Amino acid sequence: MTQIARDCLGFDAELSALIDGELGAESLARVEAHLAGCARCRERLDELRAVDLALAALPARVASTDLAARLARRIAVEPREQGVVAPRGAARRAPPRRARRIAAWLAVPAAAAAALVLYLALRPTPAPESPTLAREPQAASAPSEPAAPAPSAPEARLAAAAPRAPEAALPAPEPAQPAPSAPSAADDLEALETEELAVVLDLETMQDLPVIANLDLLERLLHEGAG
Amino acid sequence: MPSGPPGSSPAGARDPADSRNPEPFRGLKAVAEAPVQALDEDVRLMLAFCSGDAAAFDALFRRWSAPLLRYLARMLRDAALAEDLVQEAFLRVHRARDRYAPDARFSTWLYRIATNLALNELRRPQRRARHESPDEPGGPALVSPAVGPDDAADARRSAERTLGLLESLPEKQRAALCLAAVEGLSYAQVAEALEVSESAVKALVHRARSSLADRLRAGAGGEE
Repeated sequence: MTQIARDCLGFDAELSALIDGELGAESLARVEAHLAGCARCRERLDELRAVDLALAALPARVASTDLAARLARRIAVEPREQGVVAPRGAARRAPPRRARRIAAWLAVPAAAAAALVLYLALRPTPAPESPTLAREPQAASAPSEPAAPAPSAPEARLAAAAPRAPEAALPAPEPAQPAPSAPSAADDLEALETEELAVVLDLETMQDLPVIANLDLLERLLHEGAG
Repeated sequence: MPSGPPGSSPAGARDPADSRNPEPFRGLKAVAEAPVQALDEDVRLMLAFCSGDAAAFDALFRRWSAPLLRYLARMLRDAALAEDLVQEAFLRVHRARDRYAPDARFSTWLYRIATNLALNELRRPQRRARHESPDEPGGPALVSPAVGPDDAADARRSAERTLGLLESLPEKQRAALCLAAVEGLSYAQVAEALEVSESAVKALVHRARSSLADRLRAGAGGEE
């Protein structure tokens, strides 16, 4: 190993900063002056640069063709925050861990109760169909058609996003697109979120719990039981 | 494209120093005071997304998913897991739309999210050891300019060795080096992404680069 001269001690860090373009004018001048007269540091600079070359030579990863589609699916089942949790712009604070644990225990019965409320409210009308991949304005249901994955709007758009089509759009993440001719069921649901569900649930805590997706399942089971 | 992702071009074709963000990082205060649109196209897109423009989110994904995947794949050496974390990072961006405040470059914020995800993953006690080959199925790779089979085999061996050396670094050193040397972030941005001081970044990058340089030299000596 090269014997490091006393003057060169501490220069390695400067050489690294030199490579990264992080030296100020004064330091740069000093380092360059040193390099001009120090073969050891020039050699070291080459060794350090070799690291960057090795890193740059690593093969580039190519994302799976369905990465955008998978993200779209995740976004489509995201619980809605807006309008349920806090006013826009308000910082959302994570509840204390203990509160989270309690909420987790309460979540299942609470979800069942909420499902019952939903079921009672929605019984007369057929379940609303999701018009676009733009997020449905609900907190308590996930796209959950079980057996027949008919080419619903989400799937159709996901399919468009999947094959390497650079311009293919991700799911419209923002909600709010009111269905053009959507019946009143969705509106009822929207109203219920705040008026009814909030009584039973701490929705801010709930939003991270996947169990909320079970509301749809419970509703369906109840519906089938009633039918 | 003044403020595009640093890694939209293949890593091998780019001088990291040249790809550094053209505007020097001016600190949070200056960023907050500056007109955001003039500062960062990504911030403009994010603000558009926050205002309901879904296409802006798509654009952010298109601009940043590849650099983020490259960074996470280097950090984790597991392409499938890296993709999962890319997905998770963008999900968090999506969730943040109601409370996003442009107090830093979008890319810095995104890399901070990704770094935290990666570090959490690396610190998971039950994390499975995985030594992935650069060409392993499930993580399709482009072996850059190699032509013949011998060249390809050499490139693969060399990449495996580099990845192994990278993996042997302490995780923060690895993150700092990848962010500075490959992703082209300034030390100030790396400091923000890693939530450490700038002088700590300088030391981390230096230790990482120096350590790899020593091992590369030792490896080269061993091969001769």
